[in-house]
Amino acid sequence: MTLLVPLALLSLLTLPIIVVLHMMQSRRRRVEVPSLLLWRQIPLQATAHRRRRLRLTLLLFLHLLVALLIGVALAQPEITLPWTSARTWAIIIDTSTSMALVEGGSSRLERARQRAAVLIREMRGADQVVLIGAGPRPRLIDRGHVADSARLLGALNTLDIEGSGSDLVGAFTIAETLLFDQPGAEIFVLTDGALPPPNVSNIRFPIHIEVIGTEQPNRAVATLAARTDAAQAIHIYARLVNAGNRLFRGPVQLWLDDQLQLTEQVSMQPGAVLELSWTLPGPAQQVRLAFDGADGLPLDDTATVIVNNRRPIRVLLVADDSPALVRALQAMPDVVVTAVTPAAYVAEQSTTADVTILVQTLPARWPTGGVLVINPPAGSLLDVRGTTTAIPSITLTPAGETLLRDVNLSGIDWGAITVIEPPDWLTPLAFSGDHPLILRGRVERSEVAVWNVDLTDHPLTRRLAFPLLVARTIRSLAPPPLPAAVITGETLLYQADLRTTQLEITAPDGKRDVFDVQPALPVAITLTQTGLFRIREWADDQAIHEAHLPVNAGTLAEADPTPRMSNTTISPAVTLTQTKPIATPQPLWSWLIMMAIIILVVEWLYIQRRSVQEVR
Amino acid sequence: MWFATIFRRKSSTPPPLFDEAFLRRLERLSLQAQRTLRGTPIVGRYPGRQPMPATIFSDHRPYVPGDDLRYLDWNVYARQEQLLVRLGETEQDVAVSVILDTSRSMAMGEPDRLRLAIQLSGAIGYLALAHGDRVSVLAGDRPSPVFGPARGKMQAVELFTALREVTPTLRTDLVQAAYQIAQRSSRGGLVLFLSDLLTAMPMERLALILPAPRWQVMVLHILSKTETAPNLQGPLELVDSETGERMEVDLDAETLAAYRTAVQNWRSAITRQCATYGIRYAAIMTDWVLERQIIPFLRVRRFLT
Repeated sequence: MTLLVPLALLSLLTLPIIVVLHMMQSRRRRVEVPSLLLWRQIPLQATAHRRRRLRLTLLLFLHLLVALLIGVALAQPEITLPWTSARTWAIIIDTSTSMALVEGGSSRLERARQRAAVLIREMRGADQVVLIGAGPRPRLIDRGHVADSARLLGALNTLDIEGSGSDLVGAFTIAETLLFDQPGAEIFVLTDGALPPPNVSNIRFPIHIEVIGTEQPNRAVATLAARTDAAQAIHIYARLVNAGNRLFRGPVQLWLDDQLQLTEQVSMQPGAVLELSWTLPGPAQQVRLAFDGADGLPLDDTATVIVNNRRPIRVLLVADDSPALVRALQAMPDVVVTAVTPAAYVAEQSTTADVTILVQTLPARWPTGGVLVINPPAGSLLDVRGTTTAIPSITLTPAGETLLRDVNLSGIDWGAITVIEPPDWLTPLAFSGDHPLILRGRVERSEVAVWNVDLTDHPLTRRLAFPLLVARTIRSLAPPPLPAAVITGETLLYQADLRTTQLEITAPDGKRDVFDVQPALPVAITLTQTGLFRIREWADDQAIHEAHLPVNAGTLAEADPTPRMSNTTISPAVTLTQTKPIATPQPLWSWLIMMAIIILVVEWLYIQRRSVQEVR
Repeated sequence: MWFATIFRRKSSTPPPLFDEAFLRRLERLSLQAQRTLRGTPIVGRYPGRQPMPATIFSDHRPYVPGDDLRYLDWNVYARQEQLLVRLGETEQDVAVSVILDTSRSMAMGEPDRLRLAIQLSGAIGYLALAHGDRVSVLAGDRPSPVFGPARGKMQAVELFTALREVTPTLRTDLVQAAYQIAQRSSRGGLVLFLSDLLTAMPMERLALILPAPRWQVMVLHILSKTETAPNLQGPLELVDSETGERMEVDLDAETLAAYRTAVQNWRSAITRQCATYGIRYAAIMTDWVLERQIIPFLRVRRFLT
């Protein structure tokens, strides 16, 4: 037993005070008699004062007991009893797609939730529960004690399927981290076992694996891909999986832009993977493949892909005359070029352009979005200090290697180039001698590339490398395209346009999320719902881009929901230095105060009874 | 359950002194009055010791002027020419005075002595009224008549009402009460003291104030277990209920035995003194039942017949 406030034991000094008071009180109890006439006739020796001694009465005992209890309670004792050992459970719930499989009227996830709820309700005393979701990315859902049961149950109810794959090892890591100071803790894994057995050799805690679910058939669209060719024909590739022990026969439907294009009967042997391909006339933006798998997991019976998710690039060319550049730009697909003269250029025009190309001109401030400056003149934005003659050889910096890889710029007579003193934010990618030739940097909401070369009748424009350099530069200045589709639970790093201030994501069920976007910082988006998401970029109150992103549930790894594990308890492989569970100290002060109150009540009843008896 | 009475408010209405059936049974009894007492002739039921002119012959005496001519024995006059008056025994009443000790010591104990004393006063007073005697009741600090003198059964209600209003006082001067009785009636009568005798009351003074044979003095000594067998133990500070005096005692078996001896000696001394001075004495315990124990006991002790 430990005392939190040992100084409070000084209050036990009341014990001798109570004894003294009792001695004083018990010395003479005052009793009224009809008359002292008779008492005075008692011989004197009989009434002589005898040695005073303490009478051990029940009241004295009760008073001492109450004072003792209160005194000890003030010291706030805590007792550690073996049976008061607090249990700590980490409950890891598999939230992979296969947990959505419906068996016997409820999904595996629902049954896992119910089992976790039972464990939460079993908490008592100082027990603690840590809830961990084991989806594609394990995460701590909540943790709490008995008092937090309602909150834990609430958190449990919000738990949903998080995507393909279950990172049990990551979940174990989280559990171990959180249970670091709880040597007696246990880990419960509630999973359907439709995943390879995790490596638990180094886990320091006992693991109880509870497999939820039985062997069930499942048919899934594991892969769907589509591309267009120059003739706008759409080539579609699909991979279907029949995980089960029965032959599957059924129709597969193919939709282009929500129009049913094809229905095809397929037959799949048990456990087989069926690969299909079609070529359909385009154009179309969206391809959807659907079939009725007649299983408990309809989520993976449908898949959608976007055929061409490249975002169009609006280029504003500010130049007097640059035919080579215009040709190179027009050769790029999805690029729309608008040309203006430097005299006609106004800064506001750049807000509608994704990339602004400034040839031999510099505005007063950098346009937002992508900016390509070619042969910059002297101005306030760049420190240009005259001209010099470049040497034919070109030196690439490590950063330049990425952009200019496989672009042959050797043997070009660069001629006269301006001498630029680059600011801190501008990084040279290529040098001609000591003078930067190509530079790249970001300032505020502008992604700036600088070509320190005059393209007028320049040998570069006649090289094959020129359109390649233009295309790579323009593409790098514009945001990257979205993938054709993502898997549920997959985290998408969305690189928005530099002008974007807010990102709006609308889920298939209509739920809308809005994220604030920092310039050049990608937004991490985890999409756990299957279907077609709409993503819209906002620059203040102006929508500058809109795209669609399909999220599919079917993967080869999740297609087979058959448990590959069984209920088991795995003892910790690593021997802990302290294997005995640490008992949680139980505060005793409340119990002591309660006992003192009960004793006071008993004392009151005792006094009442005695007074009643005396009256009788 | 014992604790069921903890919160119960005690009733403020005292129970009635008697029921009617008890009173009817009580009427069959009478006070044992001495023949030496002098009361008002004719009206009472007690035989008078003094021969009086009467129709029932027992003796003769010479005629003196003023005698009622109706009682002249004309036959003797015819034979002997002497005027003789026929004498005979006549019945008389008795002046019954009840002196009620209302001191605080009477109010102690369970049941308290005062309640029993009031009941006994009422019973004896009713008995006397029913037999045509003059009854007066004195009570209080300096005893004064709370009832009477009155005669007749019709006064019983007033008697009971007066008794019900008697409340404890600090102390009661019984000797002073005896003086009052003696001064009010020169003829004498029956005086009944109801007291715990815890206030000093010298019997020799009582005998001097109320001398026999004119006065017949009865003492009903009301005792309670609180003094005969006190349920006390240990070191105590005893407080006199009347004087407030205090006394420290250490009560153990030895002390209590000494106390019981003192009580016995005290009671013996009272009995002896009463016998010496012709005072009729009876000790009554408060836990006795009035009709079944006290009344029969008083008949045995010849207080009642």
